[in-house]
Amino acid sequence: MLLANLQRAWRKRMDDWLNRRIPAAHKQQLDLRSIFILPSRFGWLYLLLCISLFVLGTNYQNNLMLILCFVMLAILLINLHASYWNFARLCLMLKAIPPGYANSQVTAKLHLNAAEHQKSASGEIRVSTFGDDEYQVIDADCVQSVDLKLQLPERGIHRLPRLTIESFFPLGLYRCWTHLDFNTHLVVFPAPQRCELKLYALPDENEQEGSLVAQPGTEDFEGLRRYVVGDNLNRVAWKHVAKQQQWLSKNFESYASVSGFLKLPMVDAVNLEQELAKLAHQINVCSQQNVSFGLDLGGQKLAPATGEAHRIKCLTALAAYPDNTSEVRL
Amino acid sequence: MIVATTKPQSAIDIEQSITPFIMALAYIALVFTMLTPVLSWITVLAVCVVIVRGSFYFRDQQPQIALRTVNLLAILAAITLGWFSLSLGLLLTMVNLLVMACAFKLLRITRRKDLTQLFASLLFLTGCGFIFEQGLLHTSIYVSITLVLLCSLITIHAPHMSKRGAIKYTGIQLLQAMPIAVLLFLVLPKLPPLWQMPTAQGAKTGLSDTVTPGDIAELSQSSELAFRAIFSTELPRNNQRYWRAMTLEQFDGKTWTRSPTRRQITRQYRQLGRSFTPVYEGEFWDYQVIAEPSHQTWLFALDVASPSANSEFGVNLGFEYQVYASRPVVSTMSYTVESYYNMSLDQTLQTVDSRVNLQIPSNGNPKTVEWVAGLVAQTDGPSDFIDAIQRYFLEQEFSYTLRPQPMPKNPVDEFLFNQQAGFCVHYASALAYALRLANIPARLVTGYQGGEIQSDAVISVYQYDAHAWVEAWLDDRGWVRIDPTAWVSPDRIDFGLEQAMREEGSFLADSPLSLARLKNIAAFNQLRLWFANLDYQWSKWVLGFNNQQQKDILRQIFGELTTAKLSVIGLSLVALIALLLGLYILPMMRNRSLNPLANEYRKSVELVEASFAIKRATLGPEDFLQRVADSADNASTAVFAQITEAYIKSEYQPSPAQFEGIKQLQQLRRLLRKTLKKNR
Repeated sequence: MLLANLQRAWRKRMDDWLNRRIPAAHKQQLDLRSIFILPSRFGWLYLLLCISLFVLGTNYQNNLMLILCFVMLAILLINLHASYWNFARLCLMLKAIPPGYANSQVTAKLHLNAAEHQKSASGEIRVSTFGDDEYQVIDADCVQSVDLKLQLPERGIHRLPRLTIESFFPLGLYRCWTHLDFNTHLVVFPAPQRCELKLYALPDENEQEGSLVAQPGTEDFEGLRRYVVGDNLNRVAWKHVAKQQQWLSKNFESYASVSGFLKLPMVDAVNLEQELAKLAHQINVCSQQNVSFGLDLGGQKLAPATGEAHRIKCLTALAAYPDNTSEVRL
Repeated sequence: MIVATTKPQSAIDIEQSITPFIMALAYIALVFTMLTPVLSWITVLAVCVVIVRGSFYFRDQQPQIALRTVNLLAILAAITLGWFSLSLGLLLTMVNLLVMACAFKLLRITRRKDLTQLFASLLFLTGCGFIFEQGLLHTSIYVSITLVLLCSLITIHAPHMSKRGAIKYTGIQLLQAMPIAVLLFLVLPKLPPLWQMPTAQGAKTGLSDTVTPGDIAELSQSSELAFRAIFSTELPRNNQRYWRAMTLEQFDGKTWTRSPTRRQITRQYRQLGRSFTPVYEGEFWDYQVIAEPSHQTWLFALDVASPSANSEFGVNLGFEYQVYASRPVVSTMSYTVESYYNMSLDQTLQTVDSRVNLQIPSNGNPKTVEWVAGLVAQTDGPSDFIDAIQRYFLEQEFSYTLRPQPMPKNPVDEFLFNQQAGFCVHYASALAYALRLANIPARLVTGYQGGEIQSDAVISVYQYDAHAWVEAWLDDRGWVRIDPTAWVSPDRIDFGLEQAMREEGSFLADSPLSLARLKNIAAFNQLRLWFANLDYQWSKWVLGFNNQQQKDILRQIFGELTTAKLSVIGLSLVALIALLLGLYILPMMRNRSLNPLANEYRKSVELVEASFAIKRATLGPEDFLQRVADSADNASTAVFAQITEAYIKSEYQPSPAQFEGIKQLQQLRRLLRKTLKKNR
């Protein structure tokens, strides 16, 4: 318990310090303030090797062994600079991250040489979430910008946590790293959950609640008609076929002309996420079928419209729910 | 977890990557430089492992060898090595173990950690290589191996860097490291050995401390360098150059060894803390000896030697006038000696020396015993007796040969009365034995005789200069050197072995390609001398660089060394290294500057921004031009349009061609500035 508290306090201090030292920005040129550098584990092993060479050389009074040891030490020194300056060539830029559904993956474009230095950094670069062991490897010799795969968390609008960027180039003797805040957000829509479409009529001024217009969906069955060769076999009414030896197809209705509101029912906190997930599904279905729809989240209302931009707007509103005041940046 | 993990590098990827293959190449090169110390079956193992590595890299074979197989093989090999270790000694066992361990590590590389461990082992092995070979050739090979090893490290962390790029990168780093290493080497104090290290039994070279006639004849086939002497006084003549190495005082009828009585006495003296300190007087030669590693303790000096103290290696004078080191000479080592050549060797206890040196084997060589008894009866006193033996050698026309017949039984009888031909040890052994039989204390001295004058002050002595002579105690004069070889082959002493063996043609007969054999071809001799000189400078300034030389150099630069001065030197060393590092990173900093073309364009943009109070912000060049056109005068806009056009055109050209664009932009900027001023 105490340990956990201490850990949290430490993390808080660390975050504050980092915020002061490396402020958030879309574009981050690495420099003396933002780069941390220490010998890696192999660096220490290498130092130990130099010491043993020195002891061996001294005991055998062998000048060549001593020179070898000194050359290795000099390389250790030179590499301190080599790895720093290589890392300092990185100018990272991560702008908007495309929105996505909860627990899915999105890719964001990470630029390695946003400042267009004549010479860019070399070697492998590891990118991970700050405080996390798992990383993605980027080979800076091959690409200047890379699709960073991001695993989205639960629904909501999250600030992208600090990303740890590290490099062991050139000889792996030093680990150069930094924790960068790219000042950007993750917009995470609720993962759609299948349900029936409930579209409410445009609410009148005098009517408290809009009446249900229709419940279209994949199952919105209108009637039967004679089977025509070429009809989808899934839509054949097999029961009728069996009873009457007559082929009939189920007919479905299109709601292109219908317009209405999708509503968030009054629910408790436990079912909220599920309802939002259902709304996400309905938004997608409406958008797919080109239905003009609005969104009523109680505190926030979006007027009916169609199109991809409207869909994203609605889903973003779901992601931000219940916060409807803050400007959501995409 | 926000950043999703990509597929981690699998074991197969590491096995098939280029890094283990490069390391395998470095490894096999390393093993081939160490063929003598490394057991042949381990060499075969190494070759096999490297072939396996090659097949992993070049073919898409399933490269996993089961860990169990590797472990089993390693255990078997370790047991075998353990068996051999009994005869190998500690050092060679350790080196072989390291070579073997690297081989098994190379067989199975599944993690990055394996690679870094392998690198560390190989680098250490490279260091160990210097125990056995310190020549220029081997040094350059080891430097290349180090370069390759560093390159292999780069391929771990930058797998897509071009091979040439990686070599250039590490090569530059290695070159940059050199000055720093040299500084450290020159200034850091040279410590004495921290503890006694094991030496290689099999690596011993040169004279051995048991001598059987015929032994030195083998040594005479070797053109390896034994030591060099650098004289600060005049050079001794060839027949004065008797370099004493060892005094052998025990004879068993065949073989001369160090006397057990003498060993015991020496031990007692050492316990009492007594050392042999003769009173030196008269003229002397002053010289520095750079001894090649022999893995033995004896050193070389002319009589009567007064070695100066060497703080790293104790150099002592023994009671038999021989100079020896307190530890086996495992690396090139230098020491200075003063040799008082006119002194008699009469400052030891006669009673002890006589007792030790009158020992004779209880049986064997009956003819010699009989012959000496007759000779003693005919002659009067030791000098007369020695003359009689000399007369015998000359009258019987004894000959000097490098190809003596084997004499397994009663060798002295066989030599004196049947073969009458032999090498220096035959003569010395027979004479010393005869003297002892005549009740004159006598002993065998081995060492080197002669040596080649390489330059005005330097004498190089090779293994083929190995020699043996006799010392006899004559009452009034102490120990007197008698060289029976000189009686039968004066050329050997006056001009060296090569001259003496001219007719027989046996000089270095076993090594036909030796440059020393081609001395009489002028061009080759020139080349040989040039190499010898290079090697000499290498030995003197690098291999033999010791505490004394270090102090001398520092004293030359900084004057008398005080503690305060030493600390200043230490600080300036740090400052100098920092300065060097600063010099190295300068080009890296320059590379960091922005794209020069964009830089030029930006400067022009800033000019326009300042003049018309507009901001480019995130506008593209063409949009910004539009913006400028809206608010600027026509003349300026025209110039800026040219700038924009030139910039856009150059931007999509490869970087060498951009140079023209930069120049053009610079000119245009000047024009822009003028136009702006005019229109203000």
